[in-house]
Amino acid sequence: MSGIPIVRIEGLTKRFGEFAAVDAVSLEIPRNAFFALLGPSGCGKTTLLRMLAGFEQPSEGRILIDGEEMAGVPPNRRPVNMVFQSYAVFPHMTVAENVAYGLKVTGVPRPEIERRVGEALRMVRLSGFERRRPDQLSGGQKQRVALARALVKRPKLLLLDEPLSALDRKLREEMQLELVRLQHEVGITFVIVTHDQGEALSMATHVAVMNQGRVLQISDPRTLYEQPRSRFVADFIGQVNVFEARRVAAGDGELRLAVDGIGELALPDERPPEKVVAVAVRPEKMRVSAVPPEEGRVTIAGRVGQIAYFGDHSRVFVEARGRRLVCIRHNRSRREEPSFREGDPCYLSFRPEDAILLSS
Amino acid sequence: MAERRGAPGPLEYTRRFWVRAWLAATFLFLYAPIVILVVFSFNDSRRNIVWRGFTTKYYAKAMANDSLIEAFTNSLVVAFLSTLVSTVLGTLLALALWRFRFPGKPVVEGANALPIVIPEICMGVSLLVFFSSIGLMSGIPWPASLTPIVIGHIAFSFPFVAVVVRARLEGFDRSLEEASKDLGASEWQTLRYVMIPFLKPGIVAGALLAMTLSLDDFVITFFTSGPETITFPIKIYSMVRFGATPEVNAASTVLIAITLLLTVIAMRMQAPVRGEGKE
Amino acid sequence: MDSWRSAPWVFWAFLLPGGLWLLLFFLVPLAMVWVLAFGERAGPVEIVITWTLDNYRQALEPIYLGLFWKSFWIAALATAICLVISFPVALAVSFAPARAKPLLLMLVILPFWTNLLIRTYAMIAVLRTKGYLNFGLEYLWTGAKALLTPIGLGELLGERFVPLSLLYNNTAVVFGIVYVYLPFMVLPLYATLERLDRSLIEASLDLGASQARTFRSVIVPLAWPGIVSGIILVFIPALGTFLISDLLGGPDSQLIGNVIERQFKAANNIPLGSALSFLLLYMTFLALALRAWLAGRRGYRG
Repeated sequence: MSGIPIVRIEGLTKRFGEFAAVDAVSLEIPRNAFFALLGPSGCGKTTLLRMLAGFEQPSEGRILIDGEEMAGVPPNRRPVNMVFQSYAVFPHMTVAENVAYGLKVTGVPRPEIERRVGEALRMVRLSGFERRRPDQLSGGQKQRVALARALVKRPKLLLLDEPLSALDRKLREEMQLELVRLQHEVGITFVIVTHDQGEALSMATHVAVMNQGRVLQISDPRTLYEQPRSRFVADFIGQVNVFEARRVAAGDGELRLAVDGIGELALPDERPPEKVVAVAVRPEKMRVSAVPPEEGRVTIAGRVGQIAYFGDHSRVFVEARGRRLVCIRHNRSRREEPSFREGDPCYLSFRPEDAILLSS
Repeated sequence: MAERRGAPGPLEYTRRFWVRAWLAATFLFLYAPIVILVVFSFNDSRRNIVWRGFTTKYYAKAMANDSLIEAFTNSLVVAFLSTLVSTVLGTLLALALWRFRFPGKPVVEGANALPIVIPEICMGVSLLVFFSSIGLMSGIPWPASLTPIVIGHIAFSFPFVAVVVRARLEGFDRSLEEASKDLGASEWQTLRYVMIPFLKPGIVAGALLAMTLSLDDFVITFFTSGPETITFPIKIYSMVRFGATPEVNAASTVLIAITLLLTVIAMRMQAPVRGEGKE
Repeated sequence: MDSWRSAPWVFWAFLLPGGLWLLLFFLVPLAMVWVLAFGERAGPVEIVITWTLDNYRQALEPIYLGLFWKSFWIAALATAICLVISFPVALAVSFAPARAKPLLLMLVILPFWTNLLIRTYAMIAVLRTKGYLNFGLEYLWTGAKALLTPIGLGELLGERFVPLSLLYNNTAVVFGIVYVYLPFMVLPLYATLERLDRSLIEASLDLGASQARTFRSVIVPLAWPGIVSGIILVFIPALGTFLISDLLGGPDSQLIGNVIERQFKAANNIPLGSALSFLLLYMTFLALALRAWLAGRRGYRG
């Protein structure tokens, strides 16, 4: 396996008039990665993907795919294939014709086309659907056709633009597993664009979070969730309680911070960022109790606000010092214990090492 | 990569040179004759195609030509009446076809589509036969002498209005109508306060089309105007047969200007209703 | 959709005005022409309906049949030229940036707001022997002559500029039809291309097809309904035209429309004119049936 990354993006910018949809992005995508571009709508992730496919011309910067410069290479000559958000399955062709199209137009001999189309359809579990027309397919099946059609070309890079957004929840979860299976099977680098953090975390090996045309953080899913670096990433991926903070002192393996609403907080000093502006705690790392918790936990006293019941867990909102904090309780027993009611005094607590330091 | 900046994307066909050249050539083909016609209505020369200086004397001549003025007035009266009636008839028919199931509906739909598709000359001769048989083609004083022309124009215009309004109705959410009735509005009130405001862009577009069709028409007018009735196209037709003169250019320019003006007014009215997002 | 019985008064109020108008001023006149085609002239203005087939027999004589054939070919040729000119135009307009689109669309529709007669008349001034086209050609000729004479090639262009006879022939008629009906072709094409999902074109390019291949394998099949509509919208009026051939055509450019017009207006042979009208109408229906068949054959509807 060669050492160069499959994709190398350098200082890539795309402007539409004055507006920079993608703003000086540089990144590398390793071979065989399942790479997710995650961000809110309008953050530039789709534009970035479309530049990889060749549908948009970069205003500045360059793209190398497998070491080759892509400037001036039209989409039909790039070793890249795409699964479109709308699937873009040709309505005037059968399933088999759709899958064969990309091979036919590049002059692959007929027997080989037939063999590869059969293989691809087997891979996406659509054998037997060859002669169906797209209007006789469900959304999930159209998606599989789009996948087979792209994979049959054996691209170096498979691009997926919000592939699951049009599916209902059950099917979406099924397809997530399916995509991961496929990626292992074919060993092609996948680049997926999504605005759904759950999707990105559960499927990808690498996640790049984008906002306003910039890449804020690229990490594996676990690091992204447990060690987000910025307030935006912490807030975008999962829920979070944020406290403004200021560095007071550091040294002796300890970092001391002045935290709004908590007071002074001593944290184990493991590679703290240059500048600390806030501390964040995930709701599931918080505990709510009727009596003060044991020593060693950071504790905030408050009153129970709303309780939202979700079946497997409940969200307890606590009013503390004029703020509204949230905490998750897993419903491990069929009986509620201890039972809280709105207005009851309570204690929220977390372990200091669960606090996330945010630098911006 | 500076030299590649701004290169057309794969789907930006409009930015390709040959497409632009093609567009420019087509628009030249479409507009040059009309522009020349307008420009040379101001040319101070009777027959020559060489520019001999600016003059408005042919406009003065056209204005002094009583039969031309009469023809002009007639055409505008016909267009006005035809637009008015066509808009009402077309809107009502569209509502009927959109809302109701009834026996013979395909027949009505077919009959509505026919005037749009058949050659105008077939419609023209049939109206000529019809009006002569009931004695409406001659010996009728003005303005009743315009009746056959107006009826003919309405007959080929309102089916277009019906098509346009019905297209708009396809986007109508019937629960709005149901909500109105649920809140106690009568059929008429629902029509007045819910349907018509929603349909307004469609109705205006239909009216605009009806007006254009009427002002544009030559064939139906040619067959439905009696010997004593002069309308603008008929007048121009006889003038053209005698040869192209600058007066014809001047009169044509005035008609083009009037059509443009009316269209601009109608387009203003058609501007999207506030509070309505996308179509 | 409601049954008409649910609100009969509303139903009749909506349906009757338009329905009656169609019946009285469209279907009845058409029926009268249909009947007259089976009549005989019994005096200068009287016609007796004898249910004779003579008029149709006469209308199918070689002289008229030839006219139908000629009208068909001129209309078909003009329609084909319109299609070729319009496709890039429609493509350019539908893929234009959102800012430019309304303007371009307006430019396509605008000529349609000019009276048919005026547009045909404008064409005369362009095409006639002392018209603008010849004027422009002469200008080019003079320039070329001045360039070529010093190098001894001036004789290639002849002694004097000979203006082309562009008017009063069949070419002028085809030219006029293309000029007048071009917007009718552009608009339906534009409408289908506008609705066409861009990602289908992108998918085709993405899968390795060239622009030309994408045009052939994706754009044309998907724009098929618009192509067929455009063909019908140009072909049918072109088939029945009489004004354009009357003003731009020469003595041998008589089309079926001119003959029908003459039967009603000048020759006063209304039964023959009626028979010819209905033959034209039947040709139209044939074209419409062909369209339904063509649209269905591609299996896909937009």
